[in-house]
Amino acid sequence: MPEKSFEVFPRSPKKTYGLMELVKGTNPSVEKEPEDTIFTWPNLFYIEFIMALAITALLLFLSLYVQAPLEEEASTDTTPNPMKAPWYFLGLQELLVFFDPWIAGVTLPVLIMIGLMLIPFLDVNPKGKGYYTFSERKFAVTNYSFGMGLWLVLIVIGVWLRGLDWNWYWFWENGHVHKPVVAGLRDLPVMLSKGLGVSDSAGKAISDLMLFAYFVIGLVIPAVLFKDFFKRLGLLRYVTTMVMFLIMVGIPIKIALRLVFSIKYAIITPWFKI
Amino acid sequence: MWDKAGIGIFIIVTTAAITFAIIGLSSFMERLYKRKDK
Repeated sequence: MPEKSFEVFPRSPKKTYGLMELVKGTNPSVEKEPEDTIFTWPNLFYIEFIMALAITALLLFLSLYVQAPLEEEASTDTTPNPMKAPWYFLGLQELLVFFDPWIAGVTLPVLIMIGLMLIPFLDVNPKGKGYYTFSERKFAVTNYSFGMGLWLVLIVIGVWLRGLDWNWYWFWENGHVHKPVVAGLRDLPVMLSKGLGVSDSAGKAISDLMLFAYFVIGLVIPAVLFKDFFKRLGLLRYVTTMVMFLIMVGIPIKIALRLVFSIKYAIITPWFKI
Repeated sequence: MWDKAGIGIFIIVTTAAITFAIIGLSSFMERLYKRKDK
């Protein structure tokens, strides 16, 4: 029988072709009766179309009857205090309290975007396609939910818990009364050098070592404890996943260091401070 | 001091609450749409 060649993907005489992999499993339609299956069109599309109309109608009525929270016309001689971004940017604005502007405004958002883009390449778990599951994707779901939760909490803090001069106001506190300025934020290297009675450079070296140890321990311990996880991912995927994970966990740690222990910077370098 | 600890506790509790809420929802959806072939 003569071999057929297709225009879209013609066989190249310079290449060799072979069977690459046999995968154990069944076709999604195996053991399903024809009665179990329905066509996307019109069954699904109708529902989606009706939902789209309903949501549009809901938004239309909301916009007609609920007033937008517009403030007074902007004036050149009064700056609002506090100056708040739209709610969806307040998480980012809240990060500015804890990190230098270019870290909070550029590095972290870029890392979040790169991390999200890397998910399809890092996630080797084939489970959970086309159905809901948590038990088969515990790490993935928990990890993502934590990042999402952290982002939402930052937004909640920015929207409801920041008042005059971007100070922390609890729900029950009067947001129109200025709070006294509390000085006394210190850098971790200085605290270490004073607390341990060593030189400034030694304190700085210890704080640098602590950051280094955080990443080393964070990389080594999960690899030892969860050997299957490490083997399944392979070295490159594992290191990328864990570095991203450790940076994410590092954000609430840095927030806690400042809010609870009054530490301004944990790491000081000539180029950046964290 | 307690104000600072309160802020720390608030952040931890709310982050955990949202995380577990999403996990719970995901787990609930799994139970709701349990696959027949499992």
